[in-house]
Amino acid sequence: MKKKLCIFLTLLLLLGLLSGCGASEDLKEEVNIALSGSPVTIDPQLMSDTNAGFVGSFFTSCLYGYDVNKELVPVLAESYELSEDCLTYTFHLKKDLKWSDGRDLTAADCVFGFQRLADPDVGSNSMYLITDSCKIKNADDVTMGKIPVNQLGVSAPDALTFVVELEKPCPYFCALITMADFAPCNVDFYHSAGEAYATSEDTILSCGPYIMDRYEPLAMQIHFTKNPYYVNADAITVPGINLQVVANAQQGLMSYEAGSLDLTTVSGELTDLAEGDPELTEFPNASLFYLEMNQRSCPALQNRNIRMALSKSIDRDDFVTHVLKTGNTSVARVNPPGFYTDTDGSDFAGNADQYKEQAGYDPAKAKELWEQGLQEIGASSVTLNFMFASGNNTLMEALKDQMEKNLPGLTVELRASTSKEIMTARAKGGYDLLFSGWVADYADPTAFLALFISTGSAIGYNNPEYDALYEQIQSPEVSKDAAGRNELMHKAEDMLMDDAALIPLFSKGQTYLIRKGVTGFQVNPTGIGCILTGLRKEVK
Amino acid sequence: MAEVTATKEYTPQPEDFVLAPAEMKSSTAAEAVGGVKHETLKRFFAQKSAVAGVVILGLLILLAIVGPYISGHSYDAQDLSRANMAPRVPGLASMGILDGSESVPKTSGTVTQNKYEELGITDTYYLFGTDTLGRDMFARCFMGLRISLVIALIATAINLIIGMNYGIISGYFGGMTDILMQRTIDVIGSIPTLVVVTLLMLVLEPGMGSIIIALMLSGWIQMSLISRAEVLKVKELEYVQAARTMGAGHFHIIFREIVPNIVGKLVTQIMLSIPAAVFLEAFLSFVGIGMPAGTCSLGTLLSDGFQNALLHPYKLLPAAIIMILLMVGCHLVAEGVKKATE
Amino acid sequence: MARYIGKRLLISVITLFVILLVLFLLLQFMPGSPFNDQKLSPEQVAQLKEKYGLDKPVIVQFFQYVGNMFRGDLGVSYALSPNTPITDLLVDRFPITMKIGFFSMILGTLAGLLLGFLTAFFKNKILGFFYHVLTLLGIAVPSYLFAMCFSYFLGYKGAVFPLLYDFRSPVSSSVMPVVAMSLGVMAVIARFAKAEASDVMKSDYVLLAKCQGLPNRTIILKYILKNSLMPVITVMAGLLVGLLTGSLVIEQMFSIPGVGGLLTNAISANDYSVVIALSFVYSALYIVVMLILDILYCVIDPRVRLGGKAE
Repeated sequence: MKKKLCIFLTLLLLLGLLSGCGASEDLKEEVNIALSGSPVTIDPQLMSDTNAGFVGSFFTSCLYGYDVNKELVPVLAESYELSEDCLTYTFHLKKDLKWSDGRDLTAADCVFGFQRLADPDVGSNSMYLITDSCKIKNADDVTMGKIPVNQLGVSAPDALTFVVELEKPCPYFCALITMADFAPCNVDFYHSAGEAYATSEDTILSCGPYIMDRYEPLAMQIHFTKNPYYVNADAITVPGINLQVVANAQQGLMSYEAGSLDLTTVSGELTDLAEGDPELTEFPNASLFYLEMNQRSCPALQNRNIRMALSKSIDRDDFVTHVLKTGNTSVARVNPPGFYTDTDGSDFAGNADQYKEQAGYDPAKAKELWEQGLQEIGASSVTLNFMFASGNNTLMEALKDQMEKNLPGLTVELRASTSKEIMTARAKGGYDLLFSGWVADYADPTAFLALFISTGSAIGYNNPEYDALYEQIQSPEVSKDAAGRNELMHKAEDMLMDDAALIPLFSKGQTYLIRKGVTGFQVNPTGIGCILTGLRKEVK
Repeated sequence: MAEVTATKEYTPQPEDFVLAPAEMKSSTAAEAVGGVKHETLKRFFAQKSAVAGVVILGLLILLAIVGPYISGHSYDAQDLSRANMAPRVPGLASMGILDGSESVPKTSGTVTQNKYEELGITDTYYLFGTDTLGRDMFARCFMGLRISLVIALIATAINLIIGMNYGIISGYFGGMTDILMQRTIDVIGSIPTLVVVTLLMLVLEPGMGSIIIALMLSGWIQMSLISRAEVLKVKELEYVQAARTMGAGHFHIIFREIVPNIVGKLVTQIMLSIPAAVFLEAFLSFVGIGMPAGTCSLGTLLSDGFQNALLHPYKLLPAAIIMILLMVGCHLVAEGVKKATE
Repeated sequence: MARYIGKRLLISVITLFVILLVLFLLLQFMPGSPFNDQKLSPEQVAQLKEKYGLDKPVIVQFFQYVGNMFRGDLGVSYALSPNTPITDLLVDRFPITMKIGFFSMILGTLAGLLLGFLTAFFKNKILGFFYHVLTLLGIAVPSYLFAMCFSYFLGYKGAVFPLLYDFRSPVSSSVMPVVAMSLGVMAVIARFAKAEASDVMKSDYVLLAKCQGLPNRTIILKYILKNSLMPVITVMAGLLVGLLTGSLVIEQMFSIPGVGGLLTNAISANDYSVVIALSFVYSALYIVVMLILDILYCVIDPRVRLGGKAE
């Protein structure tokens, strides 16, 4: 009896081992991409985290998109007209557009997509895209539930025409609507899916390059196959994509080395391993990581000298080189370099030392300002509560050390917190210093400047002069004058830096290891989402 | 067939009796145990593995006390320029072993580098290398050991006190008290420790105190069961009843008769609780709800080192080896005690 | 026997109730709320509270909660995947964790039994040494360190097994996690098996059997194995839940879409409702296993049946 059991078990094990070996031919042509985390949702209108944005690029497409050369090109739309007052966009859709199940994609679907984004019942976290980033007519009232959704300034006079009415001109509107949140949504399908919409591969439709064929909420693996109905289906040659959520970065890197992954991000310490590797590719991100200072409830931080002293006590290059490594750049200003071109063709934020006096590392000057500030507020020591999202511990420890070392009398208390706690603290002010990051949704400096208006997310800063300047930048007259607008935006940045409204730290790009043989992978200009039309895989 | 010798009749004579000296106390189990104590110790030390265990533990405790100071570097002084350096040991370095060079398995091929030479500081020695922020690993490992041991010892001590008392009270007083107390243990014991610990850590502020509280939740149950079992055994014995009739108080009975008999089993249990506590603390730090950011304990060292073990194995190895040695030492001693007291 | 089982059943139910009470109270005291307070107006929050029954008195809520849990409604995730019923999250993940835990258990037990019994029967010095080292390491070294070694040598250096769990080749990508977790099980089981087997071998009835001339094989199979098995099963049950929870790190390492991974993410995201729901699931599982074990004990061991539970 025991012998038979042994034989049976051995056979079972052998069978198991054998079944795992030898991937089928199809699998070899697929591209395996590593994700750093599961997307919170795959409902396009609800997408607000970077992983969701990345996944969204695979199965959604919008009126406009980016091509392999990172240029803005029409995708679902064929062309558009802009009214004289720059407030009305009339998009003409391409003919014979279809969803992944064969049904027609019409302008009504585009309308429904925008309406869902504005609908307070849907409750998207990205509503600010149509109330702040641009202002669609009636968006404010609709998002607050004061008037019904069908009063939103979007309409479809016929199946191929989509009209958007804005309340203020928006020079970057076409770039803005490339985000997955603006993707069309089919009314009938949505209603037939009901509560289960976007919870599995059967409850979501695709209008992008690929169709999702395996997904569950918080899935660790998402699988896609080519969408034959995609408007640019001819440009897509890779038959399938396998997205693998990698919970342990080191294991992911080893998996890449072993050949199971074709594309993986590297960050932090592990970039050391990939240094000098020809397969290492860097993609810049329009991102800024900085420290917010609570000027509302912390008396010490209400003093400008103290704020500036803190900013000048940090040696950004030191921790970028030693802690953050490749793919990160130290930034001592509001706008990160490399994502917006100025009137004269140069990089808007090209001069890294432009604000050297206000924020450049200078321990002696920092100490001077610190002591002055202490005198002004009548204190000899200050304790600051430093809140940050758990997981960034090394960097925070380094920052704490630097600040305390250079500013005698300063004590920094580190508090690792969850995103919910941070959200609450933001609203109620339960912090002194807060580590924040922002990735621009569209390529324009206002994406960052908007953070510091009094109704923006940085509640600690409140400057009516700055608000007025920002309003001016958004005004219709200025919108039409590109050069004047750029000048005002520089002025706004000057104001923020002179006032030490924030402590800028660094900008984070994305570093990928891409296997030799996989080419054409491109990332959107803002860094969220990717461009797939150029992706190719050589199969040996 | 042996001859059965008839027993001779003997009448005791006055000379056979001697007056007992004043110092001689009444014979109690405790006195008998006094002799047993030597026996047990002899039996314990006769086992090679137990001795090895004691040696290992002794060494670790010694290092936990002096370790952080002997390397010449502080355990929390950051120096970003000296981040992630490989171990360099004086003496061995000149022979080429552990001289600060490391082979890094880069994706483009293995590269040998020596940061000490690159920075020109070949006369500084970091015995276990440095971590991401340039802190000395040697000092950190032993500081971590110290903190983990402190946590484990405090938690174990508390568990011992609570457990012993609970078990003794439950067994000694018997009846309804016993039944209620045992049922409570049943319920508490049925709750998987990890679950309660996790929930507790979410509510409490992370820190040494919280971890100790978490360890106290069910660690005392084993001790109470052992104590109670012994109490039940001893309760009915003659000498206990005799002591009672002579008017000895409850306390006296408990501590003189019962405790010495369970010392062996309790020590074994203590030796097994310590690794469990260290394991739990390490696990909690791994998942992120252990010691707060910036402190060092074996758990945080392990979880930090784990992330980059491929790149810098020396960040993980010393802490791992120390923890394994601690476990092994405790287990060997526990086994030894168990065998010696059987 | 029925009385004994009945008693155990009652205690199990009471325990479950107590656990639910503790969990429910914790849920009340956790900071934060299930609703996105920032974005919603007070009226909307009040409306949602009414919809979920959160405006009723605490006692009513508790019974509603208990009822929900037993019906399979484990609540809704707050942070990880807002508004997704937790049951949906578990439905796909549970079988995977169970499968891996189960196989680790089987593999570990078989290996442990083999090692333990062999060491007990053949007093070979080399075998004894092997046994000592293996069991000591198995107990002292956490499973994730083993997993790391395997990953390095078998996954990275020699690409024998995949380093990340892949649904397209579930078996080969489960090998490393399963073996890593089975080593701890093996160590514990081996020790018990050896101790029990040695005890039984020294016992009187075995001596009698030997004197009677029964062949060794029969002795082994009939007496030693059967009598050593009960304690081993007891130990296995205790290990089972340990495995499930201990797999947290392993699941994170190999990116296995299991319950452990969900728990780890929930802890990081402070998604209390998920943590509490999972706590309930783990507790219920543990209690059920213990109950089954007690019943098995009762059925197999006549001493228990006749004389009440062997304390």
